[in-house]
Amino acid sequence: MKMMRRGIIIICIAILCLNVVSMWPESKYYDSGLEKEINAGSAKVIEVNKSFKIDNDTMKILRIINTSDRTYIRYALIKKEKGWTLPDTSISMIDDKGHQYQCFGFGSSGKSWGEEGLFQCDPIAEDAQRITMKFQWFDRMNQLSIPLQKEVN
Amino acid sequence: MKNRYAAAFEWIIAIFLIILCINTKYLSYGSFTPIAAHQKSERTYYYGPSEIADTIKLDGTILYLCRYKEWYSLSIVKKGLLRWQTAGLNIGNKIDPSAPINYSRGFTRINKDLGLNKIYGNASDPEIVKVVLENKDGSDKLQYELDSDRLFVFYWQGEDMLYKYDLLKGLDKSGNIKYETMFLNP
Repeated sequence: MKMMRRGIIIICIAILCLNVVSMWPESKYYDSGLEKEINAGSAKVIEVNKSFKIDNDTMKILRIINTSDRTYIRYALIKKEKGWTLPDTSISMIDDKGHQYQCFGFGSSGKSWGEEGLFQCDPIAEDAQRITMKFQWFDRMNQLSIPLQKEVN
Repeated sequence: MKNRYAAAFEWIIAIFLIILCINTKYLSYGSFTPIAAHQKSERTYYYGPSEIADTIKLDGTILYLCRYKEWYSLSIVKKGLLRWQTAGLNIGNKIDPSAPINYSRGFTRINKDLGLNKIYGNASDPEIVKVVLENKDGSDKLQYELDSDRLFVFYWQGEDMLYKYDLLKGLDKSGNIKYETMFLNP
């Protein structure tokens, strides 16, 4: 009996340790190349930290990164249950002037709490004041409006 | 006495850890029933819940032919080591009510030994009562009798066999061809 309960304790702790490892978040900008560009000053960061709902899950838009020719969206999706990764064609953007921007998945990592990663999008126009992130997927639809004025490096 | 308390204490810790493990998402992969695996697959893909029109049971694999609003889908679940999990969710097939038949086709690898070819769709034309899939000379034929849900599915096992059949036909009550399409097979 002693062996058995100690065995159970050790196995459970091992599983929980694995779980902790998979909870570990990715780096702030997800991609090291992007991070270099930001540090070199050739890419600008807008901190967003806003979220919207996708069914029972929460989509967090952490920050927008503008390089010279692309816009990247750093996101984290908090999921209620494990399953498919986010269909990246469901995400697009539209600005206050009505310009549409296509996005697609640049990279993502599964976590015990969901997934996180980067979308790569068409570059946001310089005169845009506000951008709306859209989730559109079959009969589902939700969006988030993001002001673009505050740019910090 | 002291030893007994220590043992009881360790059991409490063990049970607490088991509950914690079960609740962590590491162990929450898969579902106990095939239908739950199918529903979870749709839910986590932000689709449905759809209505199941047909269920096809193969060895350790189940196909669900479904309708959700104006879309039809084919959901495949398979039995894992302990639990059922998705092996594919084919969605995005929109029904065009003006077309007599809408169909999709594809191949899904279930495991090392099993590959499934499938053609599935919807017959909007109410006169079509039967859908037939056949090869060029008509020597190999699969049939599906439609019912009120109007959905059909054909499947066969094998590698790269999607080109086994050449014609998809929709027949009315008297056997007249109401719809016919030929696949552009290489």
